Amino acid sequence: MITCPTCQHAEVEGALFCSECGAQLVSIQNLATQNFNITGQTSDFGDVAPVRQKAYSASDTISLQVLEGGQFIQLTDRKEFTIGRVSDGQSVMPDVDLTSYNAYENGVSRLHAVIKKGETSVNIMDLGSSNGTYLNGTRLTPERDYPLQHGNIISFGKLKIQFLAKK
Amino acid sequence: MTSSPDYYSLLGIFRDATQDEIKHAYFEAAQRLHPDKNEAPGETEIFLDVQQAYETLSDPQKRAVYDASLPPEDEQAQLMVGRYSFSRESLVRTNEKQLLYAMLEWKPRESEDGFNTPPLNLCLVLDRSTSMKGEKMDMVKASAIHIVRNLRSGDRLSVVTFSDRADVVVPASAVLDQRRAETAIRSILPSGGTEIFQGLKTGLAEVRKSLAKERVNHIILLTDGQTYGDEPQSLILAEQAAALGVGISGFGIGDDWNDRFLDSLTAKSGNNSQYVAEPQHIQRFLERKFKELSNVFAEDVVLEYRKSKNVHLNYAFRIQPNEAHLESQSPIKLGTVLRDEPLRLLLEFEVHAGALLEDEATVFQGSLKYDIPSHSLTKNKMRVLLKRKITEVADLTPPPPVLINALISLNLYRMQEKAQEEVDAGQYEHASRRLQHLATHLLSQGERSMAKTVILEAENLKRKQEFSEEGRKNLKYGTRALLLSSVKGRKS
Repeated sequence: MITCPTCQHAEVEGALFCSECGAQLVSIQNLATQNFNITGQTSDFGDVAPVRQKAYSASDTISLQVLEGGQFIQLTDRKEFTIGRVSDGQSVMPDVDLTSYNAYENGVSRLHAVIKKGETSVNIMDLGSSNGTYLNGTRLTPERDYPLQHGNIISFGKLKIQFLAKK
Repeated sequence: MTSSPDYYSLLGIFRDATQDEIKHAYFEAAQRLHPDKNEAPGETEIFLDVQQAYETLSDPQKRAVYDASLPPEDEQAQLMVGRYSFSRESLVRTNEKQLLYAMLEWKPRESEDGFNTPPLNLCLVLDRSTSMKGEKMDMVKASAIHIVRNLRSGDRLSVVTFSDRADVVVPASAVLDQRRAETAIRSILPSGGTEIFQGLKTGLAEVRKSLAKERVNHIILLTDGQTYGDEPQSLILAEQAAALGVGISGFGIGDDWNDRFLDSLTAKSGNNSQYVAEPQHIQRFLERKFKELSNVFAEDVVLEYRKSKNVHLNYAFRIQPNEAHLESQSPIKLGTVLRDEPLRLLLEFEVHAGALLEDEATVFQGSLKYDIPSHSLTKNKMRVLLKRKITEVADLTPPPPVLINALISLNLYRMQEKAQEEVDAGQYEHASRRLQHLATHLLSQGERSMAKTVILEAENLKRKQEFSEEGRKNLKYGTRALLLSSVKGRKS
């Protein structure tokens, strides 16, 4: 059995999408990531279409979408975005404040994680948060970079956010 | 093709056919080719060959002698090639059921370029009810005239209009008087109700005048309204047409026609219905259909399979050339294979533990039958056997990108289907929530306008407990079109 990372619905082995909420299951996301490298592959059919999702390039705009409410948070004008929540007497402020999305109730730390925009990839690093950062349901080791792909689901504690990259 | 096909291909069976299969194929062929029913040149000779084939193959001793005389079976003799890809390289040994997705593709063998394009025997069945008045009728007329002008020599065209009764506007004939046909089409006047059955019946009668296996026999139905009370009759007629080798495709203009009825009507011959949202798109849709019909390589394509208690075909969808959710019961009608586009299917299999006892599991065992209009006398059949190895741990080798992309789009289409089912069952809460999810996925795919439609419909459901017809059709045909663009690599 597989559990949908988004809505916890149970799916059978081999399923690629949640039959309840339609989210791509973990198994396919990793697959889709690797697929970018093999688009050049052709066969006797020769008419295989290129993958619709493109690899990331530095000119892409990136944004986050809060899954619960659907709000978009644009990540523009910088290379690095710290993510957390603002509370009284805090000395270092996060670039992205999640307070208005019930950050406290969902266990988001004051400085939870950082998203870094590079030339060829966007990476996320957990900053030693109390409740952890999850990428498609897998808990990240703190202080290590993990590449993000368009459509990935990030959980800061229990707050679920989708990462979007657009040309 | 060789001058004398072997007995097996003559009967359209494989060399390992059982006696039952031989008998069945013989009866089928005998009925099809009986001299009492056929006057086409050459058919009586074939009928005699079939007799002889049966006499030989039904006798085990004679069959063994005959088999020994045959050259080895040659897959190259097939006129089409198939290619299959899977969501997983192998199945995993488990006590639970698991899902496996497959994309099946067939296309003409490269060396078959020399085949003639079969001539058309086409009938346009046009709605001329009062509601067609104005731009719709004008566009339909213009498109029909466009088709008249683009006929090739050898093509047959007839035009039938219907309201509460049907009229033959342009009768089927060997020589079409182009000017007279255009004048007749121009003078079509809209008035009256919508009775599709009348139109189809008259259309089929016109097609039957020039019915021939070497032609692509087809009816194109254009309507903008609901037909009342004659749905069952129309479906029976579509079945009869399919049995005669006449396909029916449907175009619904605007929002008031019955898409489910048109879907089942056209599915009888393996075709589909299409949604023409705006009158100015009529011409583009019709032209595309006309081009497609002029480009048919194989028709009456049918996928048959042996039912298995351990593997269940959950879902079947045709992506190309015409998107449609197919019946998953054997035999599955697939329609046509075009010269320049493969026929593509997506299948979802549910594999139960009982299939996992050996090192390899047979997921699908069946055959693809098809007719080539330019070689109308022989039935073609190719084996379709899908097997997967079984491993102890799940194999996560990435499936081909084209399969992933198609599945991403299919997921969206199926969410819309499920929401529709939930609305039918009165579960508006569920349906509305599902649409919210669907909107999120559409957004992440960059389908903004469709996402907007979905959000509106989700609200509609909450407030009024129903879809708007426009939104529902947009959604159904819009997500359907995503599938086609996912394999073609372009947005339509």
